[in-house]
Amino acid sequence: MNKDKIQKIIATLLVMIVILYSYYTFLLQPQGAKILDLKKKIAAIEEETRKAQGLILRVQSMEEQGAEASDFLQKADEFFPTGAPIAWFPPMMRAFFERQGIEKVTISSKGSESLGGEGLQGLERLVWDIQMPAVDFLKAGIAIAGLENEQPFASISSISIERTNDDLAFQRVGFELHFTDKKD
Amino acid sequence: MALQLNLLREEQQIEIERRRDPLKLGMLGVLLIVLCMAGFYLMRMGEVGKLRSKRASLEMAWQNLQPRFEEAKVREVELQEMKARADALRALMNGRFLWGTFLADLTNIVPASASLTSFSGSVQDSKLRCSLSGNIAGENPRGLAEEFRTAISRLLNDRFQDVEVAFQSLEDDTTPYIIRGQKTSGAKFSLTVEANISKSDEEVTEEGSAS
Repeated sequence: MNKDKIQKIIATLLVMIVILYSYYTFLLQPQGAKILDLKKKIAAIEEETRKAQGLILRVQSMEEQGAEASDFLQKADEFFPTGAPIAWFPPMMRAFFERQGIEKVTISSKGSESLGGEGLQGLERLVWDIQMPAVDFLKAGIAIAGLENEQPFASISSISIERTNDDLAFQRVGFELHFTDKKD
Repeated sequence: MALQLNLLREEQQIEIERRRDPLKLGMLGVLLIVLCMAGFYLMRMGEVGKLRSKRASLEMAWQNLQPRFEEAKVREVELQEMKARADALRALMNGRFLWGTFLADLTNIVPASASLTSFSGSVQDSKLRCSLSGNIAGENPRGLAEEFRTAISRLLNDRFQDVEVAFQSLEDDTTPYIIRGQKTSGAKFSLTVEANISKSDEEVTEEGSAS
């Protein structure tokens, strides 16, 4: 092999190297990056679509429970009168006890406190002191049971029943009532 | 054997040299490789095109889905809030201690020869605390008082846990008692009652679904 041939072979190899380098750097690499980028974008859209479809299906299945909850909340709202509690609570209670045949009931407010916890935002607990100075125990018991049935968000936290010295047929009944209400 | 003379030998040698020129052969090789590379590049371009059209169709589908998705996100929050409120209100409603029922049950187990003079009770942190006092008459008033105590204990044990019913005091009463025209002895008693009335979440849920 003469010098001229060796030079030609080296020149060919150099051309080959330059072509391969240029092909990889200017064509193959950007194209690969583009493919990778497109695949990533497609995967992201597919993931988002899958999540969205999952959420839409989940919400559709939640609608049934939601309807039941909405129905319950609508009914519950009927037990939360509007306005200042001091204006409507004592007359409401007096009317209730009168229906039960109990009169001379004193109702006084002992304040209120906000209810905490999930789902209870915007609600408060009104604390009322209810005293019946002279009442037949059975009547009072029936009235208490009736109150607990009629007012599902009223609960008695403490109660005291004592014999009156004046008349053995009557007792003095007092209780602290917690009444859940919407905050104004 | 006939003698052959090749007068074109030199020209043929030049032709062979020309054909075996490494630069020419190399360039042919390079051309072949370049053609292969171009083919591979074009094949990959086809893949890019397919990916682009797939992305475009997915984006179009996403554009259609997005408003429903945004709506669903808002609705999900609304429904979760609604459910949390309903659950909390149900728990509030079903977690109550019903004094009406308790007093009715208590009245039913008070012995005929006993009378309660005072009763007080409270519910705090799922703990029921009561104290009751009264008089009881009969041949064996202390025994009757004990029966009353165990009756209260049985009544509460059926529904609650950690029930404790204890005498605070039990004393003979010197006041004469008359039952059906006959004189009999009596006793004064005072009882304290404690019970854990907490309900499990399952019980609250069951009651909630029942209501």
